[in-house]
Amino acid sequence: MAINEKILNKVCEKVENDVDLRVFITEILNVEAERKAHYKERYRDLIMHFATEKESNENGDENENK
Amino acid sequence: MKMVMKMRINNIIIKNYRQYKEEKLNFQNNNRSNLNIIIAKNGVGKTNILNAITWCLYDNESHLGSDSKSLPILNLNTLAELEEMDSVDVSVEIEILLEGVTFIVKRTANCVKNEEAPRGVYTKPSNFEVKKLFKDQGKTPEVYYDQEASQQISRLLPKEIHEYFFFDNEQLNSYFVENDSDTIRSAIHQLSQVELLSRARRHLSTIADEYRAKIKRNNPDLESKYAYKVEYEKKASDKKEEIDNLKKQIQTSKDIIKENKTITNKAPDIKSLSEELNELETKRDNLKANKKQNLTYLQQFIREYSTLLRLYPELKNTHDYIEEKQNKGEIPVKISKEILEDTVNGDTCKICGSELSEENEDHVKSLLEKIKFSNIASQKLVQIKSDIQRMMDKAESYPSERDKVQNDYQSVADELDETERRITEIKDTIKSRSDSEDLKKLLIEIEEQEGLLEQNRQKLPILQAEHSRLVEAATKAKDEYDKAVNKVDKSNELNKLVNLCEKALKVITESENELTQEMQQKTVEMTYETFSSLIWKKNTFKEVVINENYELDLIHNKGYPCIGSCSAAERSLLALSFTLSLHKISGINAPLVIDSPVGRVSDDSRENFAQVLANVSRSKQIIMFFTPSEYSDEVKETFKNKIGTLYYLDMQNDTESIIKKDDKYV
Repeated sequence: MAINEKILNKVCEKVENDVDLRVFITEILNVEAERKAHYKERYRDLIMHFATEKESNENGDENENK
Repeated sequence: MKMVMKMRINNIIIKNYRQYKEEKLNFQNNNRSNLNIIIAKNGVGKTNILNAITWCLYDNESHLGSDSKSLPILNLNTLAELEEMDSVDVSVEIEILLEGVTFIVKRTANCVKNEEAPRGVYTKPSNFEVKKLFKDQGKTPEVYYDQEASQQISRLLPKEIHEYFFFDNEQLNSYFVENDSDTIRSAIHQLSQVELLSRARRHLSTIADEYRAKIKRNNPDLESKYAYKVEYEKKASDKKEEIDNLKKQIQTSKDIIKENKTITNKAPDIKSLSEELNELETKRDNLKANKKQNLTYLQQFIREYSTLLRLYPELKNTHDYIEEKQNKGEIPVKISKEILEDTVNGDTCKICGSELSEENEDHVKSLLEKIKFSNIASQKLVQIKSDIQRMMDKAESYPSERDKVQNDYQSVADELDETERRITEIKDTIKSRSDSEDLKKLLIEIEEQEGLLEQNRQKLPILQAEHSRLVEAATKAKDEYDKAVNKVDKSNELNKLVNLCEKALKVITESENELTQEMQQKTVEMTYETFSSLIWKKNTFKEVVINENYELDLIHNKGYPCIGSCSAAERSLLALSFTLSLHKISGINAPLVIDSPVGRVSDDSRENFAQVLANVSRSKQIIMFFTPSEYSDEVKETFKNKIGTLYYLDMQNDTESIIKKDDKYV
């Protein structure tokens, strides 16, 4: 089922300044909304993606600044 | 709030499903309302129409009776007509209209006659199809199969919450009878989707714990710190649970006392005594607080004086010694001892500068022998003497001060004893004057609960202090563990993953808690708004409340909770109001399909409840199933000119039902 706007608004309100975290949580909620089997795999993929992508983005920014 | 979209079921086509060989139900609108009625005697197949709907939408026959469970889903007559190993389709098709889009939802299961299969038939897994037809002719229809089709239905009528659209009278009546707080909690959580956050929190915690376990395995020295952290977190959580339970017990005692007093205070022969009792109980509470305060002061007083009294003999000796020296003129010293010492050592007078003769030196030496104190020491002794004098004065005032403090304490204690004696006296009088056994029971219960309340109130701060200590220890243990983890390898990838999980968990948990509270409040407000607009007894009920344990109650205008004393009709209306408010909150204005809506409602309230359903049907499609006896003349009269379609179900033979339109019920 589609995620209630109220839920998304509440989460967004709390992570206004962290876009990555906001997208990560929204993706997690989508996994729950779709009630997909093997949630652990999906979660692990998302966690790995957001934890490492953020780092590579940050490194990229640092390199650009240099 | 999301825009609420109105949804309606246009028709249902049933083929070879249970009692039905091939039937079609068309549900039409009436200008004034959206009421569709199906009448049938018990056992003819009303509930299996509800099952056909849930089977079609969710592949689940939610309301299957024990008789039907033992039979195959395939119609028995159709089965009998088949040759061994012949196959035939069972299907249910529902046409749903929503905002200009027609959804044709169809589930089909192929059945093969096989004497060796259970119930003589092998039923293959069903196929599911959803076709979307658009009002705009130019737009191409869309067709979805199986999982994709289920996702379409999940957006339209989510399976998780279907029991709030399709239900029976048992559900309506028992909603609040047993104070099923889990049902209410679950309903609010599911429809508001807070449940999504709860699941995300649980799953994310599990994954984070897995990462932590890996970190721990990689770093065995962390094992003990982790175990310590977990142990204290558990202890703190257990203590919190203990506190919550105690608070619940306190609240229960208060509620019982309040409820019983509401009744006992009204008894005419004990009214004035009850009033006096209430005043005395307030006075007793104040006196108890004063007594506690005075006791603390008395303890402080004794601590302060005990030191002084123990020191008194030494103080007196010192004082007398200084006084004696003063009397002898030894202090204060008039000549500086230091100057005389310098004079003797330097052979020159340190005052006039002339050389000392032998005779003068002897004189100075004799003076030095007489002076036992330096100037500074002598000044200090004089100062100390006045301080000692003050301390001695205070110690000597001990008996009178002690009497004063003890008297203060005793007078409050006496007044408290007197108040308690009078309270007991009044309670005994009330008990002896109450001629009714019920009243006596209530009074005894009040007394018991007051005792329990007092005990629990004393226990609560102790538990809270223990809890604070455990939380502090758990926080410290967590800090220690976090520090240790961070020390091991700050660049460790697992730590990054755990950090991300923790950040997300913090946001999810906070959002979950806040939304739960908001939704709970909104549900209460909307339920009461709907209930008060529909209830036939105006000015009887004041509000609807949900406590922290999700127990829903109705408050009488006179202030007491009254769900237990409501009629089945009133309870059913409250359940209906609650359901309708959940529809509004979820933004899903689905039809209501209710089996035997007045089955549990007494005869004299049926008309009122039928009127409520007619009112609701102005804004929402309602499909209802009645037995002929439930569909009484009063109900019929109430629905007159409001019915879109009315069907009558009849038995064609022992195993097959047919659907008729029958004017005799209109």
